[in-house]
Order: sequence, then structure tokens, then C-alpha cells
Amino acid sequence: MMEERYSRQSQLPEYADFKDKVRDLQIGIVGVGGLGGLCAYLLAGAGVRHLTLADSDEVSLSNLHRQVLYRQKDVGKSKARCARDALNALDAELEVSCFDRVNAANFKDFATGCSLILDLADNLETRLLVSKSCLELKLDYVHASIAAEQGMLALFRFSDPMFIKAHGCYACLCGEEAVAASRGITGPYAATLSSLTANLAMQHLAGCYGEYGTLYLFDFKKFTQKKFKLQRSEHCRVCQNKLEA
Amino acid sequence: MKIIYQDHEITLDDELTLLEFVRSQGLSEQGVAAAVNEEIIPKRSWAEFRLADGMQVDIFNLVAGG
Repeated sequence: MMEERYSRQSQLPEYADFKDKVRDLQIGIVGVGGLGGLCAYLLAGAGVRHLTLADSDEVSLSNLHRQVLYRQKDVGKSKARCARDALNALDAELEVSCFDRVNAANFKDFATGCSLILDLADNLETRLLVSKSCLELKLDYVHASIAAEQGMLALFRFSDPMFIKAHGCYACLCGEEAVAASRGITGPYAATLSSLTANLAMQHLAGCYGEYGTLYLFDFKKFTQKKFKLQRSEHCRVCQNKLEA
Repeated sequence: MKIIYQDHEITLDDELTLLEFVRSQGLSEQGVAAAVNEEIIPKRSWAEFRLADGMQVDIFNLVAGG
């Protein structure tokens, strides 16, 4: 039965043994909204067995057009717990832990045991925190963010000191006092970036990703993608300390 | 001097740093990121980074939604 569940995916050579590779891995997801919900579903469907979901929000009616794990009956309930129930409906044997909002004090507890973190939060403050915390823990993480038709995606491979030296951290990219655009969003825009995020995470976990240090910038309205090489800022106070340590 | 900005060739009358160029476009420095020739230029380097003829410049909004 287990073999049948993954039989279509296993036909791809790079994913032939994916379920075995990820069986014992814990993946932490910060934010289970428009990006994190579908991404969690795709990773669970692909064979990830252990997920930790951090989100302190409740499901609202305005979520339902894009946050595909939730139903109208879930409005007003804990998003993380509804996500856990939806994922267990996909696979009853999946182990899903729920966590409230991550902060500087509890991030280590959230990330303990995780092999990969997905930063799919909905605000810049949390994103800067996730980057700084993963850097301190030498933990690889995927950043995906979206507003309107624009999406950004990158994998910060903080387990590799050479990555940090060459490509820096999220604060190098956006600055420590950045302001992020906040606009509307459609379900397809969120679902597309969510799928691309799961694709990147899966390629990394499968060992077949080969573009570390790349920032992908998507325009979902124009169906275009640009790739940029991330560069460390010599003046970044967040990752400079890590290089000196 | 001509540069490629957001996939279109434009002419600059003066030599500009990346910071001056961002400001000349009426953009908020805190709200955008910039790349030259497909490499991200960290914000703290913008003031020293001089644009040169033929460079490909991309500036995009920082987004944080999920």
C-alpha cells in the first residue's frame, strides 16, 4: 500500500527513493496560510512524515479563496490545528505538531530536530527573525514570499559556511530596515508559488537541486521568471558576526 | 550612457550610483531590492556602486506575504 501511494512519483529517477530519504526527517513550516498550507500538503503527499507547523492565526473567511486546506466550517478555529487535521485526512500516519507564533525566545524549540525550515510567514518581521535564527542554528531554510503577482523564492543553505560567505542572508538582500509591499493576492498566484516552494524543498531534500545561491523572482501575471545571484553584504550586521565566529 | 532597466534600454544623462538611480526612479529605498547583471547588489553597497554603460539593472519590490 505504501509503495502504491508513491508509485507515480517514484517513476522519476530523482525521486525513486524519496520517501525513504525523507522518512525520518522533520520539516518545520512557519506560516500555514496561502503558501504554507498547500506546500505542507504537497510535501506530505510526497512522503515527508514529520511536520511542525507554526501559525497563531485563526482561519478567516477571507482566507478561503486561496488557503486550500481550510473549509467554511473552520472559520474561527486555529489555523495550525485545522491544517493538521486536513493533512491527517490525507495521511492518517503523518505526524504533525502544532506551534504558535515563532519568536526569538521560542524559535529554537520550534526548530529542534528539523532538517529544513520553510519560511512562509506573512510579515517581514518574522522573516527577518527566521533568517537570523536559522543562521544561528546553521539550519537550511527556504524563503518564499508573495504580494499580488510578484513572488520571491530562495534557499538559504546555512549549513554550509561557504554559502554564507558567498551569498549572505536574507538581511543582506533586503536590508535590516526594509519595508515590504502589501497588496492583494489571487488563489492561483499563491498556489503557484506554493507549488514552486515545495518543488524547491523536494529537490533539495532529494539531493538534485543545483542552483544554491539563486533568488527566483516571478511575475505570475506575465508568466515570467528571473534569476539573480544572491550576494553577501560586507556591511551586514546579521551574518557578519557568524563569519567572524 | 545606456543601460538596460527592467528589460528596456534607457539613456542616462549623468553617471549615477545605484542609490542615485533608485532615487531618480522615485522608488523607496527601503521597499525595493536591486540587481545588476543578474547579481543582487546589497543595499548598503548602493551608494558606492557606479552604473556603467551596458549594465542590466533590475529593481523589484520587496514582498513578505505568505
